[in-house]
Amino acid sequence: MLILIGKAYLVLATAVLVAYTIRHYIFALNRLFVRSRGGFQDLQDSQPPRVSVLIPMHNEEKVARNILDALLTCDYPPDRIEIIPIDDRSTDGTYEIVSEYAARDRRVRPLRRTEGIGGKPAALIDGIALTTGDILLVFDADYIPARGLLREIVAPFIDPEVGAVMGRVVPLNCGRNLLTRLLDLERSAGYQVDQQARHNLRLVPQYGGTVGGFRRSAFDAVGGFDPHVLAEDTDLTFRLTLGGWKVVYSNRCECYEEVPERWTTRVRQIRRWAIGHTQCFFRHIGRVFRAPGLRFWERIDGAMLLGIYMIAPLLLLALLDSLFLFLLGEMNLTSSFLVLVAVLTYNTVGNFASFFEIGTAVLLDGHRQRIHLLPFNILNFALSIVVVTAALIGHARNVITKRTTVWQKTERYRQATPQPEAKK
Amino acid sequence: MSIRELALFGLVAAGFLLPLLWGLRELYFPRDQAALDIDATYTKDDRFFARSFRKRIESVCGVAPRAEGLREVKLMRPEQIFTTRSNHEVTRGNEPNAILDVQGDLRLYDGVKLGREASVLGAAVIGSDVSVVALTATGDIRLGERVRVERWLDSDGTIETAASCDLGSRATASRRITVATGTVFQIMAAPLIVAGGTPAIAVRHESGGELTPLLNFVPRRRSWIRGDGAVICEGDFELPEGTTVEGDLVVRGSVKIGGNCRVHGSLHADGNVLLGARSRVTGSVICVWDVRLGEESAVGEHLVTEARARLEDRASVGSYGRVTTLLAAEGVEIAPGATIHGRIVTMGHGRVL
Repeated sequence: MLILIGKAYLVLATAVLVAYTIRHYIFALNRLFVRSRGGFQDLQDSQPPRVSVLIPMHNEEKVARNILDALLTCDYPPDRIEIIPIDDRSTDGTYEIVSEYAARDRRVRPLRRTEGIGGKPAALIDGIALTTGDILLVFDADYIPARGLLREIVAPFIDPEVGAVMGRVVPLNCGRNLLTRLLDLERSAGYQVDQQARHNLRLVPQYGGTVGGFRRSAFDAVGGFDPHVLAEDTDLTFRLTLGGWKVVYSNRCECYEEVPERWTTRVRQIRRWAIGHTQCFFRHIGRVFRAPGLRFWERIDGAMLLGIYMIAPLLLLALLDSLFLFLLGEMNLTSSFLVLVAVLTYNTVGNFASFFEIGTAVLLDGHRQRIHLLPFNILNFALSIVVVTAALIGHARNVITKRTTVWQKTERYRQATPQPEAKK
Repeated sequence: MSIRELALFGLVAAGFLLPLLWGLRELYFPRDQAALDIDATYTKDDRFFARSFRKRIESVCGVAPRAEGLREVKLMRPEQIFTTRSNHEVTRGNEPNAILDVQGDLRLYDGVKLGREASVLGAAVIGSDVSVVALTATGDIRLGERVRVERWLDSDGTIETAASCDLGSRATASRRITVATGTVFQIMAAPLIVAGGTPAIAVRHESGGELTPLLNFVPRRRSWIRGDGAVICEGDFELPEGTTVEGDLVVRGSVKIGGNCRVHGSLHADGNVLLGARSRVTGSVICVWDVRLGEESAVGEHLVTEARARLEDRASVGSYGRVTTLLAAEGVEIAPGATIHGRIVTMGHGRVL
């Protein structure tokens, strides 16, 4: 019986992995050979909607000035924008910096949080209560928006179908070390290929919680953020999608960010994403298949997007399972030539599907030499499997023991006003 | 360990290391580690090319009034600029092989082929069958029949074309563009764009009468109300003639709006959109397939389609005092009398019927 369960699990795991493999290839091939869907990038409006820009900050003195300077020099009409830095119990000089800008410019309306639940979703909830804009834009504090970015992000909201817009995140400090270079490749694939292909194919692009925004009326209609969800962006993506809105991705809305330079920071980041995403999985997976107004492929893509972090434990368990079956003498795969061919083919094509996405993204971005770093992504891949699995086990323990999972802030590394590293 | 085992071990180790070698080289001797380039100062400006061209002229020749004569300058590459201090005329066969810098009015006679850009501090009158690369003028620009612009045309005043002109990739003006029958274009931008040469008139609409809930017109079993009050219709949608409705509408099929209707809101359609004669949508219209605005119909804000758009006689997009966009990815046709307040953009062919 145990062996039968083990074999059934292996078949299930393989089927899921094959489905994700196909998905990766569809996205990469779409980006390579299909013209991108026209967006709203050529749209201009002399009377854009009133926007509120929210910047959650917790100990962000290293980066606070950069984002405030960038936002204050943007080309958005001054009478139609308000900037709300939310100081979430900082212990450094963040609030002093923010106050200095508020004294200098009426567009800056800071909020200081000293109590309540910590973390970005809770900070945003308090910040949004102060806003007067029709469109709410959110930036993390380490981002540096370009002068014309806000207009680009806001443009798709003329469409009554659109509930949220997501732009492209570009690592600024990508040349620091191996980790930042691998994260640069990962971000390229995630936005240039994955998000854009989902937009092209009318699937479910994800609102990523930064370099993007959402419609105030839609946000209110779906009930706002839940402070207990660590991935408030994924949660909002699905609540909007299930509520009848669409999330659109705009590849031209590019914005620099700072990626983690230490593996420990990266581990914390993955942990947060994994737990947050899994919370969303259990909240929304049922409704993805039941909600009205979604196309068949939107439901499939939505389910796969929600389940993306479940792949790590699934894969790890499948590896242990196959080892278990092998030791029991139940893995006689090599006795069948056809099965051997299938396994080899999958190893060649399937396991590297996500790498194919990265290669496609690098090609589309016009880079060349950085693709040589691709084999090192095995490190990132292996780390993610272990960290995500550990995070999900830890989260399950927290759920059972009713402990609250706390928000963990990403460390910043910036020293001075940043410039993109010179081309070599 | 025997030599054979050692060799086998070495071979396996090399097999693992081989894919990493180039990566190690890139890691320690980086050739491609710069962040993706984002222009932090970029901001949308339809008249960017013309403004930039004028600035370049000023940077190499000085601000007006400039001395007359031929200059050898370096722009992107070594160039010649021919500067005049007063009005200038070019006849066929006497075209200068230099950038024209006219500090007065410019007149290009029929059949002239101007092979270089021209900057005019005054008005420009261009005869029939003329070909120009790019032209910017501080005054009005008038084009004769069959004028062909290779790149862009820009005026601080108005642009007026005769029949069958080709406006190149971009025509921009600060006041008005009037385009005649047969004119083709890709991007036009001006506070008022009028097709067919007739003066812009206010589009009048017959009232649609009593305000009726949108839900009365959508099939009950295939429609629902979204959290913000917008109506989602899962099939095609048709609005009978003379109806007035309020609210945003998202349709998963095609939309047909009868004559003399009013929709107080915006409209999204996954199929085609047909707006009947003298109907009006106060917000924006966004559709995936073709859109057709009937005679004297109007869209109050933006009109965006991933396919083609056609504006019939005296149809209009946008409203006075606001820059809005008619964006038709695959092409746009506008009939005489149609008006657009702001911009028309197409990646395909734009044509005045």
